[in-house]
Amino acid sequence: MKWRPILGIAVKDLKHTFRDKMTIFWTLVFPLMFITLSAVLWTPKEGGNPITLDTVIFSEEGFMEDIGPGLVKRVMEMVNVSGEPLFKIRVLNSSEDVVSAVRDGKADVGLVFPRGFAANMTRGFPATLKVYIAGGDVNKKQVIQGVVGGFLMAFNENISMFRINTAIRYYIGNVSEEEAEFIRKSMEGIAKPIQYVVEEVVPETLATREKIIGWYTIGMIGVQFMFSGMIGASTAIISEKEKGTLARFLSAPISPWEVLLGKTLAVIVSLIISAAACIVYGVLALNADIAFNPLNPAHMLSAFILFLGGIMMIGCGLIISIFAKTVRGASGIATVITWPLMFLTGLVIPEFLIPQSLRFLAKIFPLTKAIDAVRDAVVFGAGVQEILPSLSPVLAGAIVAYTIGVVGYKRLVKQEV
Amino acid sequence: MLMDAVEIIGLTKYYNGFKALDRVSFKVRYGEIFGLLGPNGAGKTTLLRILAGILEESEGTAKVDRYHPRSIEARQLTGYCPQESIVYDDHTALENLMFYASLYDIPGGEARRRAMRLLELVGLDDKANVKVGKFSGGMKKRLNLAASLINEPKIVILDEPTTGLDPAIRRELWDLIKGLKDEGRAILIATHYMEEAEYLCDRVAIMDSGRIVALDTPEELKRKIGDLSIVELKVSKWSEGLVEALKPYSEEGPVAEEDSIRLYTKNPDPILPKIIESVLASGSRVSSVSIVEPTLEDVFIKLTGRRLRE
Repeated sequence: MKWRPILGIAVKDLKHTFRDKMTIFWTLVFPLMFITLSAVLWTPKEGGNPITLDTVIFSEEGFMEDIGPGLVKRVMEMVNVSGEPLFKIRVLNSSEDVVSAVRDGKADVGLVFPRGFAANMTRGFPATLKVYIAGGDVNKKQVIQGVVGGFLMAFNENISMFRINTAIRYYIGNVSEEEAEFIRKSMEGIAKPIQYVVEEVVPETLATREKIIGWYTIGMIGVQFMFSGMIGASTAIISEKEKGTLARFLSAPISPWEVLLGKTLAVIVSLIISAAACIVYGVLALNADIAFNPLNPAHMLSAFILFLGGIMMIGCGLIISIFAKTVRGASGIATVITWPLMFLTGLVIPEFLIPQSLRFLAKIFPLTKAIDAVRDAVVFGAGVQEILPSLSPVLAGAIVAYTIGVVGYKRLVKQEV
Repeated sequence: MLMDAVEIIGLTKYYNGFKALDRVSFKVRYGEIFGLLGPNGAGKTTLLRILAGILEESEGTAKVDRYHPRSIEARQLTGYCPQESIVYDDHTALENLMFYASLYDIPGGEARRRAMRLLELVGLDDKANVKVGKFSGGMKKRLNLAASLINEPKIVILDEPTTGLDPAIRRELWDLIKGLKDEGRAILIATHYMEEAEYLCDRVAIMDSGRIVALDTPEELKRKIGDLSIVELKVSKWSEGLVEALKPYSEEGPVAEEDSIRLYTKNPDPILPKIIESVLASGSRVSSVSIVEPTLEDVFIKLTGRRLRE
């Protein structure tokens, strides 16, 4: 085995890779764009993204200050989440206008207060109002319904408590403090039979925005390994064959295996460069919480598992070489395979967002296991014991894919000789 | 006694049952330019690829110096320049040669020295750091040749090195190749240009359908035409009908090309008036009639009944 020819082939391929604008786009620009978009679009800000609902209202009896519809409107205007108003309110002239605004997408929610609403509220009778919610988008509908329902529930509870306290103070008369407290609690029990406190329980590991960006950054490295690994390997040999240089290589005193090693090395180095660019950009530009320490055994093990994942994808690329006759064909087949896998294997799209029937792909795809191992180690601080189970499936995937790929490569070389 | 550079005996190559080479035998000496002349599909490239260690022979033996062509030793001794451009457009001329030097395990400093010397030899030293994508076809061919010499081969295998080049650039490359011969190297060159074979080669093997149909010096080969005279007619226009009408007057069948028709006959004088009559009858006019020297193409036609560029 001579290293100079192997390095020569690898350096030649790397120069070719990083001198091609399209390749630079897909190897460096695309992943950084994707990470940026993930951070901006899909990663919630600290404390969550505040929601403001465009709200249109109409009252058949007008809006008197602090009575009936006027009171509801004023309270709605006062509600803030993270400094942002929850409802942006516009008053319309008819109930038809309210329905039209919601139907036409000009408002998220519409409230119509019928005549008698204020009187019923003042007397302590049930007061009815109509709520119109923008349908169509199921997720959006659920959010609006939750916000409006939550607001009205809280409003009702506060009104109930106000009425209870008023009743105790004025209707019940002279009772002791203890009796008043007993009556107050009993009446509160009637108004609110079950009291509950909602507390969001986020997995500790995903609790911060920095960790979520770290999750996406490592996921993008997985996508790169899949795309560049498979496409790079599938075209590496075929491009030489198509150009006629593979025959020229074989006339030099080197073995086909040295050619293959040089080609594999070039793809691996380009994957490492792409991965390093993702991490550096994610950490420095987007504050991703990624802590790689070469002295940490878990980190080194995860890097090795990722390397095996890269070898597996290179093997898959070589397998494609068996079927493709041209660089365009190889690249086309690799692209057709990798695009759906990007969305269905949990590399950058969280598994819970994948349809139930397709989640098995994320569970069995070895590269996902490799990426999860890296995430666990360098983002979430997992130890060797926690990521070790990922090693065997990725190792098996790498051995099987690369072995079949080598058989394909032998076949390709055989065609030349 | 100096060893033969190349010795092949009964070399045969099958591709999926198709016989691309059929019991080919010859020897090439050091300091000799040996040409393989034949039309496309004659088996020239297959033969050169076997000698370059790329293809395996099906039957027979081939030796490069004293080694099997696929041995590491043989591949160290040979430099192969295929028909296709083997240089990379996104690399500079120097980078291309440095890359090919790495395939021969030549250390960096030595590789650079050789590359610069070769660039000078092929007249591209001022373009060493220019990307090959900006090169003309002729410059690429010269760089191709330089790449095949990076390992300082004793045996240079050139597969149609001047195809597609204009005559002036072709002649420049011929001079380069002659220079390599003068250094004592053995040169094997495949071509379908008869003038290239005549100008360059000490000996020429004429190949057709995988076989060698004649092998000798260009002069001796031309003598194989024997007592046939070659009548070349320049006509204003030729047609299939005219060629058909002239057939009875040519022993090897008339050969038409652009504005001329060549006829092969033992005794031209009595048939000349009839030939001119036939031309006029076809509606064409005769611009000139001459008896010309035979070329290797004429030899090929005599031997195979077909033209080189059919």
